[in-house]
Amino acid sequence: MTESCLVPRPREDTIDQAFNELFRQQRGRVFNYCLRMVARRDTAEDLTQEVFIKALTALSHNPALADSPVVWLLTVARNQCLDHLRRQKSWRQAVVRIGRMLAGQPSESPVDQDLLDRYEGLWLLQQLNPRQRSLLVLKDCMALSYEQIAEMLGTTPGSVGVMLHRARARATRLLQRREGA
Amino acid sequence: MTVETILASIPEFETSVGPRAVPLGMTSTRVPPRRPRAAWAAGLLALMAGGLLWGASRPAEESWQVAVDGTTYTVSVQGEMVGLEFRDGARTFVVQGGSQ
Repeated sequence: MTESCLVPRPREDTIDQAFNELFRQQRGRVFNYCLRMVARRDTAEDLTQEVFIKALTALSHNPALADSPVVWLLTVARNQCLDHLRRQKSWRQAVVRIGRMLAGQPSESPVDQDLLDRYEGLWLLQQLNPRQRSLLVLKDCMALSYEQIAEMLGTTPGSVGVMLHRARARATRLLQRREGA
Repeated sequence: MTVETILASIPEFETSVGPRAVPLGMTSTRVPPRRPRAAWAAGLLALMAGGLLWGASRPAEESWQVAVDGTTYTVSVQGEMVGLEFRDGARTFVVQGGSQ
């Protein structure tokens, strides 16, 4: 059985069209979210591609997602970034680093130090744990509402407010410590 | 400056990610490329250990390839030196060890 027998042509065209539009409108937003999370341009681009591959799969099952894509796409991006940051700490990465050391190859830094030196905000974000980092990126960099963030996290706007307060307090302490040093 | 001001001052970065990188026009059969995970590292360790043991007992030069979870590993043995080469995406890793 061929592809065209499985999926009616008009539907596929519609999904591709919706995806193209989605990609054009949202890739910058997704990329900038990922870049703030991982502080490396090439990693952020890889993650952005993975987000849109997932988006395409999801769209083929539920085209209505394209109607209000921001929260949905950023939720996918958040999960991708948290997974990526978790993997960086895994023993798998340790094996790779040992392998590179044995091979005499330079170890690749997980973040772009030039970016951190140039933008204090990026440096500050990298000092926070990934969940707090994500929260501040969504609110202070991407200006999402409390309601939108609550929808992403599956919690209430009040809880988002409390978590944001803690994250900002920690960030403020980090800044003060840096200025005092 | 407050945390909010500092974070809001991070500029919007341009990206070179384009539709070319996402397989458009293939909506019905998309299988996202997945990187091998646990099996990747387990395969690496098993091959390194096996290669070292086997290599120590075989002085002649020899190499072979093994595919584990979508990743192809090339193991080479020369004398008591063992080499392992594998690719992860666009990156190639080379590991060498042994005694001479």
